[in-house]
Amino acid sequence: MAVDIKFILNDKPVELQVEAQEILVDTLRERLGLTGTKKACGTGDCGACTVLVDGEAVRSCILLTASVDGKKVLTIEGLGTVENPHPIQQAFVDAGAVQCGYCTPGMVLTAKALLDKCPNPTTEQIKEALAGNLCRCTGYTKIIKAVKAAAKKN
Amino acid sequence: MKKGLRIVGRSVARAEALAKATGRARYTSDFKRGDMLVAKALWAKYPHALIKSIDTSAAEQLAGVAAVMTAKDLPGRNGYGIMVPDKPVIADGKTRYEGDPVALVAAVTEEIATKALELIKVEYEVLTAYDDPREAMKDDAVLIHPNHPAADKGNLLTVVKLDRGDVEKAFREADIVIENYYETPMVEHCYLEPDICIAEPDDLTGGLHLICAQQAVYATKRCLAPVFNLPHHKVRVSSPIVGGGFGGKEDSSLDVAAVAGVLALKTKKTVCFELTREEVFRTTGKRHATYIKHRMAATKEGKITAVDVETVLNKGAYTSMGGLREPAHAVTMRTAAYAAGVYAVASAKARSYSVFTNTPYSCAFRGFGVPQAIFAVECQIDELARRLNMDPIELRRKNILRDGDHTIYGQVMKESRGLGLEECMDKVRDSIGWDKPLAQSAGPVKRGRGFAVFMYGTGIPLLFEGASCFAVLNNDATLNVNIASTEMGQGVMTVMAQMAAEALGLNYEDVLVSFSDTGRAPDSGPTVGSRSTVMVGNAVLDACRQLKDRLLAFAAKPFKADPRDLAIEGGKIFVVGKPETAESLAALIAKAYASQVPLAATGVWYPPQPSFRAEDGQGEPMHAYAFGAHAIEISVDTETGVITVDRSVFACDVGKAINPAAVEGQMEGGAAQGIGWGVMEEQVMENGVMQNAAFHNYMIPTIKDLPDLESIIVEHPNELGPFGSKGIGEPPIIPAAPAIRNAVWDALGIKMNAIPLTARTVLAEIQKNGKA
Amino acid sequence: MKETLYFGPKTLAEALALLDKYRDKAVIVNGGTDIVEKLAHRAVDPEAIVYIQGIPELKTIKEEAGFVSIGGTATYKDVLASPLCGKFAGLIQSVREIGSAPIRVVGTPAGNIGTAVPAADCNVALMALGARIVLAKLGGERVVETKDMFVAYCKTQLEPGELIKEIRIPVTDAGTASAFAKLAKRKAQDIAQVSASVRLTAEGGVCKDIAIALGAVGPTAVRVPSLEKALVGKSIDACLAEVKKAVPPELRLRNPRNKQYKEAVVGVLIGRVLKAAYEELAGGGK
Repeated sequence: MAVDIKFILNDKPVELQVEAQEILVDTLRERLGLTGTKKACGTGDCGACTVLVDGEAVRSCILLTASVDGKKVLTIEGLGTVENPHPIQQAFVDAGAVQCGYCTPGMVLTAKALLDKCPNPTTEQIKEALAGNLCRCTGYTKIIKAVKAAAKKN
Repeated sequence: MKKGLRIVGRSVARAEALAKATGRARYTSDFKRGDMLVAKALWAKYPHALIKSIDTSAAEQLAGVAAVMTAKDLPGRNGYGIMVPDKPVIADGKTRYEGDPVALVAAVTEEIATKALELIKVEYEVLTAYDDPREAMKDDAVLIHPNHPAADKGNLLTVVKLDRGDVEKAFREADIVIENYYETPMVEHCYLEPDICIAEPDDLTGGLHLICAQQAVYATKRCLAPVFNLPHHKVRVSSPIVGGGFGGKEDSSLDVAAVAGVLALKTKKTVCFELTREEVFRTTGKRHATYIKHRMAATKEGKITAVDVETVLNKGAYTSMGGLREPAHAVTMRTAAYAAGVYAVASAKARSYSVFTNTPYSCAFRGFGVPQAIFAVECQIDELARRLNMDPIELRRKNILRDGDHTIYGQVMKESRGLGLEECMDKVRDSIGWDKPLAQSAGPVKRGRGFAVFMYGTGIPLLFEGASCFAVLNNDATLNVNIASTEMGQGVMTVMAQMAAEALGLNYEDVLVSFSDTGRAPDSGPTVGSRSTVMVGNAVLDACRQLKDRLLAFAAKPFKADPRDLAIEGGKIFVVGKPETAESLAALIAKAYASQVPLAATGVWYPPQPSFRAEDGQGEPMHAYAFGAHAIEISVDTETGVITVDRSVFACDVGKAINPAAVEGQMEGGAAQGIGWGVMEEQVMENGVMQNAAFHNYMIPTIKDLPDLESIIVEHPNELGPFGSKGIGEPPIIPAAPAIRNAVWDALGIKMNAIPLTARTVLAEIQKNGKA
Repeated sequence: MKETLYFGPKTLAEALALLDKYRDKAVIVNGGTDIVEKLAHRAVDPEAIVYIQGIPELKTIKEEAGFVSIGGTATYKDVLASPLCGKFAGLIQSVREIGSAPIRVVGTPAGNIGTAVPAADCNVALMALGARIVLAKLGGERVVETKDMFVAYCKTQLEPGELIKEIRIPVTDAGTASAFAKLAKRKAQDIAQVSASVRLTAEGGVCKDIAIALGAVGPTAVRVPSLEKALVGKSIDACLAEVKKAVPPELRLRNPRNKQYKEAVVGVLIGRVLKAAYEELAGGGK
């Protein structure tokens, strides 16, 4: 059965017919062309597919698309652009927190959810917020610096 | 070192970082389209078995299935590999690990492809599956490769031998002998981007284009052209940016490209083959597990006089980076060559045995066997310090290789190539406060501090060493540099642009580096072995020098000056010392273009020809080395065995940091992987079947598992490296694990020689030693 | 291939009617942190998906009749934010240990009970707290003690047509405190190697009543009556000495790879939560 859903995606209303088992990361990547959301494990273990739903960082690889009906979804594409990046995105670039980049969209969005609620986080709060996002390249040190720098800019 | 550098040595922002941070950067998977066929593999149900029959008829009948292939349906050679073509595209009559495909399917959707796999019937005769090379090398073991060229040695693929001096005599005369047995685990690279290839038949040429996340486009072309039965020039291999590689995507890329490629040729359609995370765990290459018997002889003054080392490596199911021509085994050879670590030792004997088993094949993984070898040596020297009651850093200082010293493989160390180890040691010692004892608390938690050092030769001797590139000057005074290296997060686009801009006097923004496409660039060599900055960087400098020489020679006439008195900087050309003569470089290039001055160049560079004799492992395989020292502080909960890494101070001699932030990125990331290897990572195998094939049971460090990783860059220039640089991509992974092990000994007074030091193993040792 | 139906009921009655209709052919999706992965990979292929997070009446956390009750769709994040739940230190400590922040935003205590993984952190805390689980179905409800809820590995008393409506935790007075702790292979986002939780009632340094629950020591989370009985009436110091080396018979460990380790640390962990609960009591409930 196709399910009709409506939601706000990156500040724009979207109406879609989806399958019952359809997963949000696949809908975003394969049907809506929003490939900035990465799929690295498909089991909810790595955080690369993080998007914000109603302002909360969640994993789009273990979220039924049908369940975002009526909600607000923000993907990395909705946060900023190359021409006009969000301060968190710019902070990641400036701090050297981006290496292979596969974890970066998820990290940036998780950091956004944190900073929206907690504008001046401690190192411990940053670690707590980002503990579900795996990065294999950076050792996280520059990611923490980036989040702190972004907080300072706000 | 060159003075007055404008761009090299600055931490300019990564060329591609903003595209990555905004989600606009496209990886291979982001090029998938709905009209591509989806490939799936039916993996071996039993890791070691004979295939008695395969029935694919039901799968072929399923609507939406475009092709079902078994070994009999292949267009060319059913075998590939970086050194030896012994890995089948599809298992033919036999499976050797759980990552062998038995049949392949291409279908219009993933769901149909998965359904088709379920319809394939295979009958197996199960054979004993080996996880442990020590079992597999016994005389009565079942042969994993009965028809292999090395089959006369059983499951033993190769032995690398190294002999220097009179080892027997040295041990007879030694005041002290340290002997231990060390074990290091098989681990997975855990790059976040799963392996993927999109194979596109090229109707215009009759060839094939493989778009595939990987580290070595030319190697892929060479290795797979015979599989496709195509001449090399009709196989184009390209890689978009790569979501991490760490050595793994030199090999696993062949696996996915072979599958996608044969299905594309069969169906004449574009085919995408993407692995799931579980498939990445079960089927792709791993770090060699090692079992090391290490004997070290020393005088009572603390001078190491000899080592005698026997290393057994788990080769897994296929040869991968190993070879048939000894000692051309990238990893095996290094376990022998680095058996004495960074120390000047007069006599040495090393034997390294690489043995087939039924685990995933072992391949390149950040450090090529050096982390394993150094783990043993750095544990050994710590024990020597304890036995002699000497400071571990001072004991190391007594023994480290210095200018004019020979390594155990006969290489002469040269100050001119940069020997910065001692400076690294001193900086780490000061920074961590080595002489100040750690504060201990009264509770069950004990603290400890450990130290370890490394050296790592830049490049990949004995395989292929050298690099080439294209450089094209445009009429607006911008430059295209085309290299075949991969951008996988290390920053090759950025550092090549920095070096080219510096060399040609251009602005950094005016250089664009294209990467990893055999259709656009000549062979730069694989992006492995910490080689790109030095090898490819020198090739880029060579091309830039040619272009600059041509421009200056052409400008001599209009400027009425000797070319040697002309300079280019920031897009202007002028007579040195006379800024008023400055003219736009673009205008000059336009004139040069009209005057038949060639504005494209091929840059090449080859290091001194490496050597390493098969008979005794003597030669000069490396031209320069990176060095480093790492101190780590840990806490151990003695009631639960849980280790916490509290502090990490790491210094590396990189020759010259072209981009210091990128160097720190390599150091921090390497330290993190090294800590993971030391305390938590382990691919658990049972009879050839992986037991922890997901990110929730195969552990890699999270942000909470790591302390702030402190990095100190040391620069002892390498006369052969561009701007003095040495390779630093891999080596930062090396010293963390032995430093942690030495810290645990410091904290508990307990010696542990097998990593990972998980809570389970640590607590068992505490209980055994009655220290709970 | 038959297509799966999707329902997003807005009331409990609607949900129960759907579950009654589809019975064992229905899959309930609550936070979905476990089941959605299985649905995505078609490891589970139901006739109907009933997504219950849109039911406001199940989302509440309230106190009534001596119980704090957590609605069936309340998330871990809701629990952490609830002053009512804040009274149960063991519960809060267990929820903080679950997965990572993005998991706690969607994951639910009720879903955790339904999945019944033996290592599930929150279940162990609820078991020690003596929580009761209210199971609703069309035309009726029943209440099950947490300790009786788990019947086998990943299997509960929940029957087709039933749904976890709420979790009721008995409110305790100032003489009772709780605590939770777990050991894992890494510091975040990891499944417990062993977890332990206690609810302790003490007076004058003596254990008056105690409930101990353990996770990841067998096919289900378990209470440890053998130890509980032995500790009542003893001084806390004596209790701590007694539990430290304890290997209770309730452990049902099979895998030889970790059996020895779990046996070695289970007593240590019980001791730590016991001590933490006692310190909370001694510190005046905070």
